[in-house]
Amino acid sequence: MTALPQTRGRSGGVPGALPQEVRSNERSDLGSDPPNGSPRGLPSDLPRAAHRLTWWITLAALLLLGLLILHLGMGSAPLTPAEVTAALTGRPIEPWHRDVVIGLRMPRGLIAVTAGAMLGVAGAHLQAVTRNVLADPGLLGVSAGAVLAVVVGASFGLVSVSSGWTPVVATGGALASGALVYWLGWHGGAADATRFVLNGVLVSAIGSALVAVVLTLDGSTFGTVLRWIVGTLHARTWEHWQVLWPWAIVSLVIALGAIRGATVLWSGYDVATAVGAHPTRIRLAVFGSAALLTAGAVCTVGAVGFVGLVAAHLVRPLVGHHPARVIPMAAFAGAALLLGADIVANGLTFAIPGDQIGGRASLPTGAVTALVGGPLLLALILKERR
Amino acid sequence: MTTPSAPALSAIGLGVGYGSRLVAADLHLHVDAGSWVALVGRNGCGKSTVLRALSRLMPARSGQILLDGQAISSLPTREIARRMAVLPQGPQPPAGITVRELVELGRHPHRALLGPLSAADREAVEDAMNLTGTAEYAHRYVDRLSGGERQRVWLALALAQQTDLLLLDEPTTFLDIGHQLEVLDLVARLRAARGLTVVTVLHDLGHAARYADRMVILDEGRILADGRPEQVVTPELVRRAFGVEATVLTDPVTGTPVVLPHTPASSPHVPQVVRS
Repeated sequence: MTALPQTRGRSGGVPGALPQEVRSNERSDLGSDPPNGSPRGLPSDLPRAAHRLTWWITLAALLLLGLLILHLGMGSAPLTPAEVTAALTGRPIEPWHRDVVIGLRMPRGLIAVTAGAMLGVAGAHLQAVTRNVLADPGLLGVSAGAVLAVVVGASFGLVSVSSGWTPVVATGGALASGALVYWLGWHGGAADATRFVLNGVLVSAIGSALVAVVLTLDGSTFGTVLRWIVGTLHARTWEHWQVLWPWAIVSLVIALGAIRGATVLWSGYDVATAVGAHPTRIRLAVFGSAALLTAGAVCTVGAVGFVGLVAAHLVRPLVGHHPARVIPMAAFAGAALLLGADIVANGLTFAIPGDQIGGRASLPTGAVTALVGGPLLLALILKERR
Repeated sequence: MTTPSAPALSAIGLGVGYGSRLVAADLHLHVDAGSWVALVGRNGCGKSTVLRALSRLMPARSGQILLDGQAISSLPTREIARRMAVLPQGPQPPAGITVRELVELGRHPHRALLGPLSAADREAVEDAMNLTGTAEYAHRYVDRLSGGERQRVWLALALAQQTDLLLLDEPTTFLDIGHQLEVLDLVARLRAARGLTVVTVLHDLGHAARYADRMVILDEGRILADGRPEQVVTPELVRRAFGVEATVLTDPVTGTPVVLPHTPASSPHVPQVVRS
């Protein structure tokens, strides 16, 4: 992966490393400086893009639009990007293009973009407040809680995947498991980032076990639920989109509002207290918004893993580590990741020959994100160990 | 609101501790405006804990902390941060934060809930970086700086808060002797320039005697001695506070007391060093 952060964490600042020891590939951001690093105005450690965030956000949005057009062209009746664009702009080349693109495929694409953005923001937020580059809604047990709540709700016939109440139930589960991880991690005051992730994995495992128990008690939904747990965008309709979008707007607005707090807490518990912030309130606010974001995404696309983890790591080499830049950019990276993963899943599905379209098995999108995210997680853990 | 004679910071009957262990009980301390008070004492004597309680990084179990005569428990934490800056002991910078970004956090208590840094905020940040000599590496990552540079960056964060009161918890730990003096000299110059009131926890008695105008020796959470350095740094008090037999001399350059430790005073298990 090229998406690894450039610094070696806290151990990076070796005592005695003078600022003059600048790596040759680092360039100066302060125009007038001599290239060899004079005593006045030393070269910047920030990546170039960090100073041009608006430009990069625009570029990311255009890239995302391109991916979406590609995505909308995929299916049993492939369409070229030109045909998709024509259908989108209201001048379809064939009348049925409009029905296929907007009626059938658009919800899946929009859901991928929105859910991906939500997971990306949740991951970047959690990484900032826990000061832990391994944090991710899936790894911290938040997704597992949401899944368990929905599965329990569904087995009692209370919710279905397209019901407006599903995100509420999922948020309840996400908050409960998030609170459990929070309590286990910060019980007694000390916050240990590694133990915190371990607790998340533990809570996830218990959650999965409980899901299996509930599914065994009521075997009728086993297949559907299992695929949804891995994470799939298969057969998503406008009905699902109706559930997702209001939830997405509310949770994203709350998350963007929490960036200032997350940045302060990123500087450490004592420092945050010293500058007049309330660390515990910030943690609760960020955990709450991450639970909202994750629950909304999980309801519509299932427990797609690693999107939050990978998104934040993708953008750091571009914009540096500051949460005010990482979190907005992680929204685009998460959206592009989930959309890209779905393109791959879709492509592989249609590449495998089958007799009929309806009975064709589809590759879950979550399997693709896990194939990308798993090795990254491994690389990060090895890097932390070194 | 503030009477001229009121101390800048006071502890009244302060009790503070961790879990079931009470570090200090019924401690009384008044810090006069404009003074530099050094808290000294052996490891575990409670000096850092008392400083953390004074700066509300730790809640007081009992008693009160008064900031300009007002109880800090009744003041909003943002308001406290506008009047008192504190540098905790050995803070770890987050990976990948630049010097400027870290110093900007010092403006947090002055900023509105939303919106970018104001012109006044940016000026305070520049000012703090210039005073501490960190402006030249404003865009460097803090975790790539050396220990001494890093400590000056943390100091810049505290200065960006533009407070009259500055609390420092062992600001010289992990620094070599040159950087120790550099940081303390910087604080002394800032204090003179801005009329700051300074409270520091210091390990080195010589440094404390040289820079502070008042020393408070703590022992098991109680004040063992409190006064001007030449009153406090005596062989008798050094023995009682640190368990060390020492000779106290006067520094020919600064005129402040310096301690020459010889042997642990009451340690039968440690063999006596034979001196020739």
